[in-house]
Amino acid sequence: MSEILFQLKNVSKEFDTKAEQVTVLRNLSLNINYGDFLTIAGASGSGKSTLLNIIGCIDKPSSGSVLFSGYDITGISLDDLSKYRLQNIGYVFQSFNLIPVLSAYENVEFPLLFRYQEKKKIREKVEHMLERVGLKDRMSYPLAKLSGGQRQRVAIARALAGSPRLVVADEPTASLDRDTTLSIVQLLKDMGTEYNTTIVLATHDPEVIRYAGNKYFLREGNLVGYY
Amino acid sequence: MLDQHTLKFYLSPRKITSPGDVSAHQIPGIYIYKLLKLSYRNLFRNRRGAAFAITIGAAGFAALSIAMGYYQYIMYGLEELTIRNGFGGEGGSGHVQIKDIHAGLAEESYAYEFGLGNVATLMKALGDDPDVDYILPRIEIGGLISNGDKVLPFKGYGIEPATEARLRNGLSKIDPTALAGNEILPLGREDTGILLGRKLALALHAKVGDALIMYGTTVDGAINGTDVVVSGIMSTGINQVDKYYLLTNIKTAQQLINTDKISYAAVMFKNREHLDEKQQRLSDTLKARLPLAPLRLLDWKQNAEFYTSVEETYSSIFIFMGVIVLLLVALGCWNIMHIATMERVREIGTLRAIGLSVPVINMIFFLEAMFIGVISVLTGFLLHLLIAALINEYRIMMPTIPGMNRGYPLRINGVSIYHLWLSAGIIVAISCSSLSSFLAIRKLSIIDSLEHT
Repeated sequence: MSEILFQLKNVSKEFDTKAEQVTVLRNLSLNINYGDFLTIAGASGSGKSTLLNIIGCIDKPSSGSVLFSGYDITGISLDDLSKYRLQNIGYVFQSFNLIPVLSAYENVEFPLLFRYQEKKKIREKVEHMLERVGLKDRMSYPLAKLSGGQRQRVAIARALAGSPRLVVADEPTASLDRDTTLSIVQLLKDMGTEYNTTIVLATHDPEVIRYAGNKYFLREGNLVGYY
Repeated sequence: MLDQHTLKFYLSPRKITSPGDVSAHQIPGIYIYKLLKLSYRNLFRNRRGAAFAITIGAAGFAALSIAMGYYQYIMYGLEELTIRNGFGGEGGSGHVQIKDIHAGLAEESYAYEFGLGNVATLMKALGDDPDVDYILPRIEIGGLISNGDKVLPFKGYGIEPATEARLRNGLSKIDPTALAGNEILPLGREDTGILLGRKLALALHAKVGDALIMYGTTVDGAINGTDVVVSGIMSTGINQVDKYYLLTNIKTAQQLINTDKISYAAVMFKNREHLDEKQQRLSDTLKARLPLAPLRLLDWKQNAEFYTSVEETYSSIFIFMGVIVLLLVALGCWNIMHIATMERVREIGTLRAIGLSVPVINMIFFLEAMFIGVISVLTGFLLHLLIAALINEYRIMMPTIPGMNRGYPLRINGVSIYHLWLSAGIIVAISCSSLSSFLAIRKLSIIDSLEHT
């Protein structure tokens, strides 16, 4: 039986608007195992991003518990969780969110500077990851000279370079063409397997969902099995 | 702070560890240059904003540099004026003055009780000091002066015209157009000659060559009179003083008051460097050569009440002005840094999401502001050199100061140690403007930042 990496227990999330209180997640529970490749689908506004933010520890639930490796991290502030995120979580965003003034190499290197002190180790990790995502010959390229797909590969390399236990990807292929989308998802899946990293991916693209081991659909603030 | 439970989590065996792991809340020292590189490149993201901030900083630096150069020039001028000319007609203070130990500190029982006697021995001892360039013996006199029809009070000095002229001639270093000292030279042509203050001459209807009678009190308390001839008419630069001022030869003055003493001797060293050491050596020499003479040495600043008060006033004005300019520079850059922050909200959210702490992100903006400060200083320095060169080249004349009767040329002194302080001030002021970024970043939530478009 797989060991549980991440748990949500009866998590709810509410937002106060001027007019009313909106409940996005309702008593949602979820177990994510080590090495899972998991997708969360749902209509626009269904709360995929909110759920991903909570899993990615950049948002807090209104109620319920969040456990990582069995430890309850619900009460820890987001600022205090920054160290935890740096050590354990990688992020891939829809619009890549790379630092435009840095090269491909420097973008992957940047978060590692705050994890490791050994220059050699950082260099080896960055070069390995960029080679792994197929950008070995474009390491020193400025981002402006890379295509959308290549930039997303840089983002994947950045997310995985720190050997996180969990990578959270919020619609990473939404702004890419079909061929690039499939190659990016395949890359994420392969690398997740290769580095024993859990991948949680939000999407509404059936082609992408097909790659996942666990497929969830978010409806009325709760998860239902996709298939 | 993380609680014990979470700490245990971080230390759990499944954590990916390495001997080189460091805390995300620390900025690794060996990678600070990476942050510097990032901050430097960020400057070029909003070129217009950065250029505007640099312009503000450079203009502030140049303005303060020029003000400081002007301040240094006028203070140097004032120092030289104090040493070589004085402000009340008393003559320049010289670098050091030799007085009787009681002079100015106790009341005299009779006139010139605290004057300096045995002048020839004193002058020889002073002249033998290798640092001494020349000596200016002086005697203060006061009394009445008459043209036969009209009697007016006067106050003045008995001097050695040649050395006094030499002392004042030194002012031409500051203002080459000044003919300081030349007006005294006619006094040397005749032993009984006098130079009258402009307004005093006017009141006496005196002109060069006229005979007048000077009256004074002798050291014995008797009234004495001596015939004098007007050798010239001069101005002290202060209209009020010109109404009663006169100069005469030291011998004529001594004859009037019936003494061979002098009031004091001013001493000029060969240069102004290491004045304290030179003064100390001179003091030691005098103690050795004239052990019984009760002498006191005063450096030029101890006699320079006017200089000291002006220095205090001007320093206060320039410091106040400097603080205002630094505040304006900081406020000008504040808004630019705020805009730079708001243009990168999503990036800030990303950096926080991937685990960088807020202090690390603040550091990026701080370094960015610091770069603007450094570039501003370099640009401002060049601008300062250009403007200073133009001002010095065109010899702009400043208006006459109230109470004086002559303007002075505007000059800007060159680079000094104070430029380092000014550079630090500008860099700190601009770096402080990154506080606007800190405040903006503190208010941003990670989620809102990532959703920012």
